[in-house]
Amino acid sequence: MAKRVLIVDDAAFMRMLLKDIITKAGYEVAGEAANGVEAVEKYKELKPDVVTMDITMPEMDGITAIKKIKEIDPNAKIIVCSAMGQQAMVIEAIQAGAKDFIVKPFQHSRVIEALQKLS
Amino acid sequence: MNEQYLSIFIDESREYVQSLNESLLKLEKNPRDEETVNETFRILHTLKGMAGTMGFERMAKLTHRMEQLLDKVRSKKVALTSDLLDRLFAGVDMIDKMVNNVASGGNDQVNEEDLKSLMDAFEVVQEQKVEEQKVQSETKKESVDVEDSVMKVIHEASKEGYGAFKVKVTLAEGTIMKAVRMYMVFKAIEDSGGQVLSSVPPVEDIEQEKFDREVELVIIAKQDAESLHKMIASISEIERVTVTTIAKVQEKLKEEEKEREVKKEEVLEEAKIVEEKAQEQKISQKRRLVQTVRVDIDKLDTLMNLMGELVISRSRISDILRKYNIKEVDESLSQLNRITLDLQNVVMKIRMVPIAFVFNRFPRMVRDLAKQLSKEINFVIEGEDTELDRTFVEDIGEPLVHLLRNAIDHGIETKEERIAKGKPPVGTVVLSARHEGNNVVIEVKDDGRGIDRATVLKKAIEKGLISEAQAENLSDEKVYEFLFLPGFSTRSNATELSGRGVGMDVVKNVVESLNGTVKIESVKDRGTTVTIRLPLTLAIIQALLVTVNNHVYAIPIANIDSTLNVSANKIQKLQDKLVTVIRGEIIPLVKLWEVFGLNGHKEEQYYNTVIVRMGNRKYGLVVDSLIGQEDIVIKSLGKIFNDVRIFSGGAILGDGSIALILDVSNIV
Amino acid sequence: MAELSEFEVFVFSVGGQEMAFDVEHVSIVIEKTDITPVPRAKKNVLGVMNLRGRIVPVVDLASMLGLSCKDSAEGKIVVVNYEDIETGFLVEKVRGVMRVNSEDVEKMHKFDSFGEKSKGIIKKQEELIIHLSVGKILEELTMSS
Repeated sequence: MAKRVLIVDDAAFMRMLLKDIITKAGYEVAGEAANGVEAVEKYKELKPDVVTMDITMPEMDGITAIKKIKEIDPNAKIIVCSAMGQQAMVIEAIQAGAKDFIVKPFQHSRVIEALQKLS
Repeated sequence: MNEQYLSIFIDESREYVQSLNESLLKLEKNPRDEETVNETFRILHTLKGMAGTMGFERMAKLTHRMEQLLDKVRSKKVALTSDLLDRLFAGVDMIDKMVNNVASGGNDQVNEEDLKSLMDAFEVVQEQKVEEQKVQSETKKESVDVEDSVMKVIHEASKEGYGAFKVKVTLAEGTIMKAVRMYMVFKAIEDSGGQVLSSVPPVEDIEQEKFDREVELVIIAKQDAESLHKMIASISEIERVTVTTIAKVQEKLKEEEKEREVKKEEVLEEAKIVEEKAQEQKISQKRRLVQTVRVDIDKLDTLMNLMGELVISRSRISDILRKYNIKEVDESLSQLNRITLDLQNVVMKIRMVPIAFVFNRFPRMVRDLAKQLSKEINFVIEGEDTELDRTFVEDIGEPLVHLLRNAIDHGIETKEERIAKGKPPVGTVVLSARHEGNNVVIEVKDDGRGIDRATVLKKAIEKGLISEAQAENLSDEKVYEFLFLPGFSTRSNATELSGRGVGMDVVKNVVESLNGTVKIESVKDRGTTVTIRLPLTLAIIQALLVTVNNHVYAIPIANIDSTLNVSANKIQKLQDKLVTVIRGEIIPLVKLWEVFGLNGHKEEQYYNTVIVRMGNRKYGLVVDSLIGQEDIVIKSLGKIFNDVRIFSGGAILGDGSIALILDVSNIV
Repeated sequence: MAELSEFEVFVFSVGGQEMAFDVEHVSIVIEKTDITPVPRAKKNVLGVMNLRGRIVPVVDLASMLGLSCKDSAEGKIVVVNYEDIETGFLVEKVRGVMRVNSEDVEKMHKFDSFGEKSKGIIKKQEELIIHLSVGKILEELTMSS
């Protein structure tokens, strides 16, 4: 069965882009969320296999969302999506429990590699 | 990058540019508003990511610079001065320009010099940051290590069952954030109970990405080489890992080694605190998130067309059923009617967008204009939630720009003048929108000097538009209507006329092309109000159906003044043109069959005439018969008829036949 | 190496002459229906018709090609869709789709009065079919006069 991915990003554009890459790679997009709060709710509801998590988002940022999701499910597999120059935050996200990170602008091969490594 | 993303990229970027303008305006009022600083930072950050993804390097760089500047503001290293705000505004304008270039089919290319000077303006702040980094790295270099110390640790550790390994990690080509990737390697080792004793290059350099792709580590761990290899190789973007067991153990240790590890953690700890602060602020932000779906406007047009088809099919079915007198279906039929009507309403509503889409950009424009003219303006926007058809959004902006500019430039007096008149020193301009019946009403209202009736009349007499005697009895409304005439007011006399003239003909033209009307009211020294009235939707209009030579034509109700029956003997010829006099007013008559080039129309005793209004003039359109008023859905006739300017489109009527819609302005 | 390619055309008759459009541009053929004349339109344009709720122009192909059209009530309208624009062409009879070898097509001679509106002549079993260019015909129709 195809792995189910939850995409979290406040920019619809980014979600669309990721969705495209992910589905083309044969994964299933279980759902999308536009901020941390939605991400946590959607995680509870959809129980995805993998989450791609943007860091800077309104309402609740990605790092807080990672922590909350990890509280719900310590085995949650989360990939952080960051922009260039956010090293410190990515490190924090990894400390919070993210398993891998991908950097915008996304390279297809990197996104797929990250998904495969987690499978 | 894919074309399919381009439109969403453009749309979203424009929204963000709008939000940036709003945020900066807020910051201008209250530079200490941390929430807004964060919001601005976040938007710039998102834009940066989007631009980078689309390969728009210049835009990515620019937003990056601005983001860094905001970061400085956020961490209180830089104060948000009005000079800095001006630079940021200029930056937003530059982004806007880039997006527009992209939208018009190009890329983010802009005037390189402009971009450079703008970037340099942000650079000043950048330099400080570079210096700081240098200081940091120098302090850290003290802890650079030697091999002896490592060997000592290895020896100690071997007593507790640890093995020592040399790990060579090669990152994949093009790895971004190499430091973080390496951090993940360190973390994996430490999480599994191991410890990194030394590295080439040193950790400090790794943290600052001062390495190419290869890092050599000496570590101690409880696992064997194979499982270590597997663990590290499972991390992304690692091209190659070699793990060799260090057999020979030497006895030397330096305290420094451990110290360094501690230091590294401290640095991370610090970063964490800063981030957490930022987070808290973010959480406190309240942003209304509406659940929406983006739909291509073409799809909505298709939906609207299908809706039209459905309405027509329905009426055809009911015609047939009526013919055969089938009563059993009456109830279902009326239900179908109801559903179709509801559906039509819903489809129309989908096309509606809040007028905020148009209004949003004005606060920024008003700010710039007021600053430029050294006037103080209190700009008020009301009813921005008012919805109107998507088609209007693009067209109504320009006339409103004209009106607002007039109000600020010529309507609102200088501060001194206002004080002398006993008015509040700050002028007020109100832009409002509301629904009134089947119309959207947009008003631009100022409390400025108003329009001077005498000056307008003087000008009209000079231009020979009216005689002095006529001028006396003209109502204010009529007087102001002169302002809508093309070229009535020129730039040179705009100011003396309170500026109600600059582009007013443009305003009127645009509004009328949208089947709307525009009206001016003014009281001297109290201010001016310009009222624009638009139909709720463009796609459906009310029209009067008439026949000419047995074909049905539609005349938009918006153009119609009245209908009447003109007796043949009341029609006179004046310089080859037919005219009739109605209540003292000379009205030119146009026989539509002649306009259509149809011959052999017989003379009648009475002529059915539709009086239409164009600007300030009335004309009579002579038709064969009047059928009645109906809501029609406008459809384009297509490119083949581009040269036929007397029709603006066609509409399909209930019986499936087509009525051509008259473009009155091109007939009279 | 001779290039042997095959293509399909849609064959109909206008003014007693067999003609053809490239089949990919033909979207539908309907019986002649009510046509609303559009005053002041170009002379070869008959008017507009209601095609399933869409307003579609109808062109008198015979007169456009300078042929005399046998005015029959039972004509057909061939609707083409070219670059997303629908246009109807009034023709006399419709024969249907025909497969053609590119070697059966001869470039027209210079004296041909159709100009660029024709791409060539298809010879098929002693029959001559004029292969029309939908693009060029529409180009001429949308040209501002």
